[in-house]
Amino acid sequence: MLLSVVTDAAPTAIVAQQADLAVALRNDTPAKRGEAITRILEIAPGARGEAITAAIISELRRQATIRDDRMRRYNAGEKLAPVDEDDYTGRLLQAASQSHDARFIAPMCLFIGNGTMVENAVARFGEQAVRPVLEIARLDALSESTSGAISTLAKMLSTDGQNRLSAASRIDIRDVAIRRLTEKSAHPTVGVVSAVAEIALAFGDPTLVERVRLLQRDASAVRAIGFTDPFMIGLVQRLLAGLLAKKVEGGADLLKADGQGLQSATRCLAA
Amino acid sequence: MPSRSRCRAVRRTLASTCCVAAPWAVRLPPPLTLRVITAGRMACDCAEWDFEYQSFDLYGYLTVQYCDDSTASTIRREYNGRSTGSPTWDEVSWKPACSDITTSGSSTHFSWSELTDHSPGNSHYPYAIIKSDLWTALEATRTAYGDSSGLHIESGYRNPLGNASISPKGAGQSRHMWGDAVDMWPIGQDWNFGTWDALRAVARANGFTYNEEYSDDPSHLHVDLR
Repeated sequence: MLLSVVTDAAPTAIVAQQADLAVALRNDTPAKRGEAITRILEIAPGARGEAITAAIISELRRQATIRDDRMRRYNAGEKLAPVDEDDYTGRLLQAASQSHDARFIAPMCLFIGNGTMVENAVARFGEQAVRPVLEIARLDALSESTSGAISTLAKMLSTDGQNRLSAASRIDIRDVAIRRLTEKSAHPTVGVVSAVAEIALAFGDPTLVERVRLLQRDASAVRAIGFTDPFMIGLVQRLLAGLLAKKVEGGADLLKADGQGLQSATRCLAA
Repeated sequence: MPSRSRCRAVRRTLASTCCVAAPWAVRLPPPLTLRVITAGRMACDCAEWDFEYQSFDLYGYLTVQYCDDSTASTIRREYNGRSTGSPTWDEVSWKPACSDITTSGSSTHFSWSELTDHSPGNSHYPYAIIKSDLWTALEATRTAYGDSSGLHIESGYRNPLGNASISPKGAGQSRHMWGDAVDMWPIGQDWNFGTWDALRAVARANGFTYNEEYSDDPSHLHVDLR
């Protein structure tokens, strides 16, 4: 009997409950928002309605504004207290990353520097997400977003996403990789170089791979793209060595899928 | 090998199928003696007793579970939240099994105390939860980062009470309570965005799936395995 009551009441009750959660997410205190996102994560991703989707998107944008403001204050020399909002952003991103709704692409891109969970979720959208991710990948900024964006592009290439990317997107991604591997950066970071190497190896493009090999064996090439600290130069080279050892084989496997190896990749790039 | 406490599950018939409406509950401390608690005692309140409330099934059975080790039971109960007294904290959206709570463990370069003995973050030390993947990812990160000085672990496991006791109060759903998160920085190096980014790049290449952003707390790198 209890089961039947629950079943009969479900549609209306669920819509009302989700509307309440969305309102709490947008308007309530940090504690209530934290509680709301906990309950949202308990709802199966496919069962989350429009109200919740809109509220999560709006909240991610609000959190990004707060984050950007903190970064501005930090860069201005202000000492910041650690963020304490219930791991709220992380859990909003967890909810967003479970969705296949393309409206989440832009707000997730605002947090593309938060690690592989977000990168994987954005990369899944393939061609739909290339433009906004490329925009971030092109920035030469002191930000974790750049390496996150480049890494996301690598994931788009190295998964089954490669077939879904247009020729124009592939050319633009290759262009970003070439620039990052050859031009001097005002803000060189280990994260960016290792992410670009992932692109090079995912493409399997001989020019890109050779450039990665050069950086791996020649410290002066690493200095040429902006690094000065000997430890960081060594770290870049160690990371690239690890990637080359681990991923060249994977890249080759990917290209073997059409039975034509590296040549077909080069043709794709030229297309 | 980490020692593991064993769990014991007990099933008894109850008259109600609803926790909140249950007019009575059972208490089954070891040895297994059955006591009926009357006068409106809620089944949910069994968290006050020697086992943690689990669930009623459709046949009206209540499954209760408690750890043989009383400290492990206390830690598990903390995951249900505390709304009175000070500090208070919310229910944690993940619940550990008894076997998750151990008192030892290590990897080549990281000791149990490095990851778990942070007062007041872990108020039950040496009891703690460290997921095995965390040891693996940490070791791989340390090796790949390559600085012989090693990594300082600022915070590893936090029990819910400890998490609520640190200043500023830990995030209500902090991954530190999952036992798969660390706050860390490399020993003997200038700590700035470049170092943070380098350590993050190495960590993400070695299994860590989530990092807080630099501006969240520039004093360390927070990474976890969510």
